[in-house]
Amino acid sequence: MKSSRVPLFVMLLFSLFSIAACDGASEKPSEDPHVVPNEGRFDEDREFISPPNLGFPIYACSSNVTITDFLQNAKLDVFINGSPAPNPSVTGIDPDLGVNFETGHTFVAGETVFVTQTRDGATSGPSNTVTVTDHTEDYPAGLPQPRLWKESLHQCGKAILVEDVVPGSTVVVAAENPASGGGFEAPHDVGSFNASTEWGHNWTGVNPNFELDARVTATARLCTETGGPSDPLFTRTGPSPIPAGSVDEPVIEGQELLGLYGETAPDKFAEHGAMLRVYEPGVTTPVTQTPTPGGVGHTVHIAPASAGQQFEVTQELCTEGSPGTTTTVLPCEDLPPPIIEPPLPGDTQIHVVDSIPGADILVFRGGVEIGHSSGTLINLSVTLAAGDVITVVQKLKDCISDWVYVITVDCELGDNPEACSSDWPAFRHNALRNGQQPNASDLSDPYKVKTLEVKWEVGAPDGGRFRASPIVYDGMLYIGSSNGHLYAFDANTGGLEWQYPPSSEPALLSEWGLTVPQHNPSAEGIAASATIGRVNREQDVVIISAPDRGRPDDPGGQFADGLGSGRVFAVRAGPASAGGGALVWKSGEIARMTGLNPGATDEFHEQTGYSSPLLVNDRVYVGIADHWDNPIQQGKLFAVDLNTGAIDTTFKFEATNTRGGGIWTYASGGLQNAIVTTTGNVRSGNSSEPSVNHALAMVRINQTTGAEEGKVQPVPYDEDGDPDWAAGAALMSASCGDFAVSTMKDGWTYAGALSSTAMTFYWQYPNTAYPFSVGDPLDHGDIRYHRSGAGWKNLYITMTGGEVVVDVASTPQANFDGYRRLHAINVCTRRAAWIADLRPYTNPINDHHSWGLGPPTVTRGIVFVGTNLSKLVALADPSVWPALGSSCTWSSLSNADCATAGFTVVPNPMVLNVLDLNGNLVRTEPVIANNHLYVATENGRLYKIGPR
Amino acid sequence: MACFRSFRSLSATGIALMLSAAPAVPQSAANEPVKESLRGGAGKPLLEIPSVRQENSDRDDKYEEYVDGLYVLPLFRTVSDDRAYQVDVWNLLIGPGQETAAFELPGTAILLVRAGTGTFAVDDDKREELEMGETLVAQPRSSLRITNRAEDRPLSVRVTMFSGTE
Repeated sequence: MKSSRVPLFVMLLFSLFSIAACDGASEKPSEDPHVVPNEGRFDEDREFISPPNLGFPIYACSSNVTITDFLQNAKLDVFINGSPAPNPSVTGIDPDLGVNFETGHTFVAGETVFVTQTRDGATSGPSNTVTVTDHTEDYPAGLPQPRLWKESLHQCGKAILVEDVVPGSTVVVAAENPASGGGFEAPHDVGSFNASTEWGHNWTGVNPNFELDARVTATARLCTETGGPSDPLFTRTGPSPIPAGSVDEPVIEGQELLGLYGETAPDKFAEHGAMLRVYEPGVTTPVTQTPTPGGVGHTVHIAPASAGQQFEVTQELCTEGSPGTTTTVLPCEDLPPPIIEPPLPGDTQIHVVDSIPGADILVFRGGVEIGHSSGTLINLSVTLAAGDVITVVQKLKDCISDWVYVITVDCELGDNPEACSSDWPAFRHNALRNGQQPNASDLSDPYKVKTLEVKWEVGAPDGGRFRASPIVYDGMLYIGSSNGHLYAFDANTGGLEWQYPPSSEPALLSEWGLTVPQHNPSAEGIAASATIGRVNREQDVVIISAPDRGRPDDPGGQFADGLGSGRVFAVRAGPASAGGGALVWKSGEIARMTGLNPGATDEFHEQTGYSSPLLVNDRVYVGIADHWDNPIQQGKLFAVDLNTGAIDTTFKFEATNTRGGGIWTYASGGLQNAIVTTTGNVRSGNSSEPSVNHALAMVRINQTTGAEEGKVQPVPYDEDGDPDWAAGAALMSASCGDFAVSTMKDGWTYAGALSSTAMTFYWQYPNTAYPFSVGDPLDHGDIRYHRSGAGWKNLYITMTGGEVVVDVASTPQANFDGYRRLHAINVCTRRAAWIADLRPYTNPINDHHSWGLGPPTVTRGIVFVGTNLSKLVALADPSVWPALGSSCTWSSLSNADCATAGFTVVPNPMVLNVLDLNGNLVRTEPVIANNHLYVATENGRLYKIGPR
Repeated sequence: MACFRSFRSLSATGIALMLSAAPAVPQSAANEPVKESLRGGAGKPLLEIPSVRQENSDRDDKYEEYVDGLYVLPLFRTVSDDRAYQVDVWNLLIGPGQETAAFELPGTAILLVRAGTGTFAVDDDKREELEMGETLVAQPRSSLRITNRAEDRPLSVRVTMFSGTE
């Protein structure tokens, strides 16, 4: 249905403008099945345009705002507390980068700001509203030290980029020229700017141009506070000859924005501080010119390009270089379709990932226009629902693309139907085990995350510990305790609904955990998180794996001597009033416990431990490890029928043909028909390498037969110092392919590429050696990087060793620091995108067997993680909130040395909130469900947390 | 076509002036104070592994530039009972795609490649390609130059040095 904003008669009166394609057919520009011919089955509503986006935060004492995602040449009106700003409007030119606009007003905390856009007689509704806050809330330690863009600050440079600046702060760049008698002359200011929320605005042209060997610094000021100065950079001689420049192609007739690069677009960036000049061939007067701080593409504004017009680009430092490749402007028929990210139900924006700079993006649902703007995030007039078919069109002046992008709104990721639940029905949310809540909620709103508070707190009724995490489904919360009970709580009130087993039956415990001092914590009660399933397509059940010394109603189910063999249970879900808590089925014995003598090789000491059941295609998969490596047991994965609990005897996966390869974690599934799990050590239980050895590996397993279908196995048998691979894998559908990603216990992170039938090694982070060689000097011992990571977009967020992990063997310091950091690794670039240093929120760590962080979870770029200091930390990807600062990917290098040494400085995400809770938080995940967080602690407390 | 992180145009030009160069000041880790382990005594190994670095992970030790392209983190030093000689252990770091300037190490040195692959030039006439786990012995006053040609892997080297205390 059309939005009620525009009455029907108005639509008719003001002409329905048919979005017909340009004359002439063009070849399909992409193999993407979403790209289809434009058949003109939609009409542009000329009364409707989308609101732009207003950058945040806006801090008191600042006076500028950043506006993005507007229509090119639209008038942007700024309103403060509902009234026009002193400088009321500005014309928007570059919708991707946005405009950094001086409002003429000094903001005061508590004021509200929004913007609108107007073009061709249509005015949008208001943008997001930003409330002005005090910067000291986010920067209590003071303004961060600005950082100069390290790359090649040149003699004759005409511009400089400054990073790590607080939005709204005034940044001043000063140069000290070398004195003739040695030392430096007095500093003089060469440029300044008011910092933006958009990184690409945070540079200044410099006047006069930089001299050779000048010392350059930057300082930032906001309110009465002055930060910095930055570490200095010294200007050096630029490249000779200076490389040519280039234009990002294609350029389509009517285009007014050109993306400029260095020698080859988009691979080579412009030189730092160069003057970029755009010429038409044979014409000496440039079409346009701009100084650039280099580093990325630089957008310039030109008069609308004509088909056949040609451009070439030069760079100039002290002298101007030769022009590069000539770019010819293409006719309308070559205008490609835009490309967008797959939208999810509940979305109110479309994320454009590829478009012509400055082109209009129009979004239709059922032929009705629901979005029209330009840039990256197009606001919609409706909330998308599953099954909506949306069509996205690109338009440049009167030119409409011959091809459009059509996609169905769908919550499925791969073939996993639960991947988009707003509940949290399994450990890591869903079968992919990506720890991601994809739905928008209060917890994806950074301002609301800043107000989080505890709503209720309860304890484990049996006094046990929580090593399992909660799951949340249909208004109920389910969690198992170390004292052997599965509890169901009302997720809204925290009231206890039921427990399984009931008090009349023995708890789910193993004799080993009760009586043998040497035991892994997972040997105590229910250590694995539960999973929701639906039996016979009608009955929701809570599925757990647990030890069982025998049920009184089922003597045949008492295995061996009743020592606590492991099995799988399905218990009816829902409140007690609806029959919740009743046993639906229990499987046969899958983890054998036949004795309690440590070291005995004639006994079985198997357990399901931390292996949270995986539900895929009506099968429940559970892994087997041991109670303690004394001796290690044979790793196995079992499959159980969801409807009956019967063990599937046709499915068989054994990690070795002897001992070892214990599965200490869950299996993952739901993407590319894959079941993926990770396996533990092998050498301690064998005199020689088993002939079948899938131990110390991330293994893909056929979901029907259990056959191995590819593995990542970096540590050879002879190097096995007990680096169990104990974090499970997150399956990720990234822009460059499908992957299984996990961190091994020695601190390296790996990605395996998934096809429909196999998994192959894809990358290792840090890139060191794959596989490691026998006798290498690195530490592949019992280190404790065994927390699950979270997947969001192309990022895998994990507690990992980082680049300094190669130093661990005799520099434990490197290891201890890694336990207190989160890395976000881009699975496509294989590099760290950001690093969160969480040392302020963690206890110092003094041995390899401790670690500082729990498994992180993520929702739309906001990451939650628990710490060993009982803190729940919320932090924001830098695309959501400007970063707090930056640090070197080699964490033992200062920022000043980082780039020179050949490494990369990456952002440190802003910490939005830190909550103090009572109890260790390193084992459990913060569950994100229906606008709230649910957190269980090691000491048996359970919290519901939500915004104020 | 691409949506890329970009800069907005800014109209600013300037006049370049030429002034003489000021030398950069290299930071020498060799002269930095390092922690001494307990001296060897009766019943104790001479070179006792110091525990101080394992006791407080809030320490924020950083590699520092030794010469161009080479960064050093001193790990520990121990001195003989008669104080006639000492042993130093350092981590050397050569980043991806980096080549060091020529440098000397204070004493006889055993270099162990801990990660990566490097070309080690000794006195400009001997070159060895060393991989992870391989070692090289450098005599006192040898001129060393190390190249890490890998664009995506750092070169990490552990160096153990024996030298007189004078």
